[in-house]
Amino acid sequence: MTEERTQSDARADTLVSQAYRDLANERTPEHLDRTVLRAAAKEARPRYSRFIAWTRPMAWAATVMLSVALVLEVTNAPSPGVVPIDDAISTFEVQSPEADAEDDRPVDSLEESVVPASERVKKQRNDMRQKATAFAEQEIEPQRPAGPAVTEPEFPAGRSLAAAAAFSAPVADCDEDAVATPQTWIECIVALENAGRDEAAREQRALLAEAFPDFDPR
Amino acid sequence: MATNAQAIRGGQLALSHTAELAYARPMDNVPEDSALMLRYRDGDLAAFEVLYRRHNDAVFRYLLRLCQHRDTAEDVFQDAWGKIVKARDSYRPTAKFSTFLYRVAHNCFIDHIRRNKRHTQTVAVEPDSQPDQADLPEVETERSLARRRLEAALQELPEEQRDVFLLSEEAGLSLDQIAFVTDSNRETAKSRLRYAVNKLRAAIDEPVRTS
Repeated sequence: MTEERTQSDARADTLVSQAYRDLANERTPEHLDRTVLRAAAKEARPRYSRFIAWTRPMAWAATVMLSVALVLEVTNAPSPGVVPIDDAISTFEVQSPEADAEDDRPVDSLEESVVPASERVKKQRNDMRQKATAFAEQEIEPQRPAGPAVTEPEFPAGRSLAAAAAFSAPVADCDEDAVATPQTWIECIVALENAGRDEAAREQRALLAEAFPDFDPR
Repeated sequence: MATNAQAIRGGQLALSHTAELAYARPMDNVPEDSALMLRYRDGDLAAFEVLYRRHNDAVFRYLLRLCQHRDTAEDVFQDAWGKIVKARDSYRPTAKFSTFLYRVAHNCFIDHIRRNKRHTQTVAVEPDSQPDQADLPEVETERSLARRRLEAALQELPEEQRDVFLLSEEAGLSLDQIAFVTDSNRETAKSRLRYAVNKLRAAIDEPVRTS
């Protein structure tokens, strides 16, 4: 009985299936096919292509920029211990309060000035150059106390050659304080002679004689 | 989207296709669906086209009869294949491809119903299923009448029963696979299929019995 029913169901299923097969013969519209396949093609493209397209020129640009920056850095770098005069001048030009004060002066006072503007600028620039030179020398040479080193201590025996060389380092020329009076100037000259800087001492003596012709150095 | 992900996850768990079987062996003339999908995942568009041509009509008919509205069917069809395309990276050949495909299509249909209230029961008359008016009534055979009755009966079926019947007929899925696609158990799927077939058979046999 059950077997008969199963066979009947199977035959019915076949009949229904066959009837459905006759009925269902629709096909997908062409426009849907095109849409789906286009979407699939778009998705199938490698996703990193856009990334690669950007990274290569970016890498080139970054390399060129870094190279140029490196070359500029190397060529413009100042040598150690030396301050370029122009840099020092520009520093003074920026920071000079005198220049600022002059700029802040009223127009009337500028008109009253006897010296033409170009001359004034030239003079100002020369002053600045002198200051910058002094500044650069201070940067280069080791700091020493102001005034002449009147007495040089005796170099103790038995020290190394390097120490001896450091000990016999030249004394700085007479500075503004030293040349203020003939007495301090001659003391500075004597200190130079004691340090073995005879030529500098001679120059200072000549300057002393020129500045104070009545002074007897002896 | 969540249902799609569930479909993919479920497909991985439910069936026992192994990865090594997925790629077709060199001796095979007809590559498996999963192998084609894997080739598409690797960028082979031609593989996808073969896969699409293999299933597009059946999926379209399934959705057409499920939605009972041509425009809706086309929207859902496009949506379903779009999800298949987008899921290519995450596709794993642990499930039979047709199960995965019909589950995605089924879920897209459900989503569409929930999202869009314009889903109605209006029936779009298919030109293919309409008998030639010139031949009526003399030439129309009993078979074409049965076909028309089947169409009407199919449209009158409850949605769940129609879904199960269409999955069985169009996709050729087993009861287990139908249960997986429709998110139900095997007995429910079997019961729905039996009810659907009985109703359709009754519709086909009706004029025979009345005559």
